Amino acid sequence: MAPRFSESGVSRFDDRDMGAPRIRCEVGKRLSEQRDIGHNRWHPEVPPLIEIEPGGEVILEAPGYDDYQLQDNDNTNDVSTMDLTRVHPLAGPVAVRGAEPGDLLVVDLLELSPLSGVGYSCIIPEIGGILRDIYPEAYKSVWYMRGNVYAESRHIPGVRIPALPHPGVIGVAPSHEMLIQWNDREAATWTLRISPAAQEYTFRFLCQELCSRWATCILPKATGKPPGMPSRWMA
Amino acid sequence: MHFAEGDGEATWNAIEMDGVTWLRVGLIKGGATKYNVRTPIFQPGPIEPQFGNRYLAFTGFNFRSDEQAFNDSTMAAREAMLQAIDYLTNFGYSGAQAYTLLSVAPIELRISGITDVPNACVTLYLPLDIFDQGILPSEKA
Repeated sequence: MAPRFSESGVSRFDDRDMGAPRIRCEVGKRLSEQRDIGHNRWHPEVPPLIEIEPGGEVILEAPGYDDYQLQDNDNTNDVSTMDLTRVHPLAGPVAVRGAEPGDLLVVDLLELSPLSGVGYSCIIPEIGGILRDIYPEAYKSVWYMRGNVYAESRHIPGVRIPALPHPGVIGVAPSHEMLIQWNDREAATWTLRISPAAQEYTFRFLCQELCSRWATCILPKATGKPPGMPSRWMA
Repeated sequence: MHFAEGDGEATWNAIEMDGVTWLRVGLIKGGATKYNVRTPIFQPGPIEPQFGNRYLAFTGFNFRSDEQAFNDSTMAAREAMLQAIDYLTNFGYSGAQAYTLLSVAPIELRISGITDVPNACVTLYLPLDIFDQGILPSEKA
C-alpha cells in the first residue's frame, strides 16, 4: 500500500524544542495564515521576524514555492489557476546583529529537509521555462520524498531522483538604492523577452510592492529617503 | 526549497517542496569590500549523488537546419535539451515528462565551447543511474 503523503497538516520535522530559534510552518496553510508570517518580496522595509547574533543558528521552515496552492492529484487545474503573486514564500527576514553593507555574511547550511514529503514540478502556461514555446500546455508531476535520499513520482515512472537539496531562494535585503537600480536595469528586458501574459505577472510582482500587506512597505521610488541606508540582512 | 534540480532549472520548476533549513550565520566585517565580492560565492555541499562516468551526454549548438546564431550559448543549451528530449521519447516518455526530467534530475549543463565562433557548444550530461531501464543506444533494442 502506498504511503499517504497528502495528509494535510503533517510535518516530518518534529514540533519540539531543537535548541535554536525557529520560524515554523504549519503544513497546508498559506503563508498569510501562518503564525510566523514571512514574505515574498525583496525589500528593505520588511521588518525582521527574528534577530540573531553572528555565530548563532536558526531553523527556518517554509511552504513550497506554490504556497500550498498545488494539490496531490492527477489534473492541472491548480497549475492553470495558480496565483503567481503568492509564489516563493520565504521564512524571514532574519536580522543579524551588527551586519551592514560591505560585510560578508557567511551562511552555513546545516540541514535541508522536506517538511510534508510531497513535492511538485510544473510546466506553467506562458511561464514554462526555456522551451515554453514548444511545451505550452500545463503539466504537473507530484513527487514523494520519504526523507533525504530519493524522490519518486507516479507521473514520471521508471526514475528515481537522488536528493541534491538546496534552499531554493536565499538572499539579503537590498537597500532602497539597490532596489531602484534592479528595477531600472531590468525594466527594459521584460518587454523584449517575455510573453504578454508573463509580463503581466512580472508587473504584478512590482505592483505588489505598492500594496504589500506591510504598512511600512512602500515603493522605493516614492520614498524620498536617502539612498544607501543600511539594508537588513536576510536569509 | 528544492529537493533536486538540474542545471538551468529548465522548466522554471525543480522538485519544489515545503521544507526546513537549519543554518548558522557568521559575519566577516568589511569582508565584501576586502574580497571584492559583488555576487554570492559559495562552497558546494559535502553530499552529492555518485554517478562516476555513468552519463549520456548530448550536444547542442547555436544552429538548427538553416537557422544560424553567433556564439549563443543559450540557444546551444536549448538545442542540447531538445536533442535529449527527442532521445528520451524512445524510452516511453512524453515530451512534457522528458522536459520535466531535465529540470528536476541532477543533469549537468556545461559550456563546452564559446571560442570556436560562430558556434557555441553546450553539452548536457544525463545520469544513467536514475533510470530503471538502460537508455544507451544498442543494436539489440
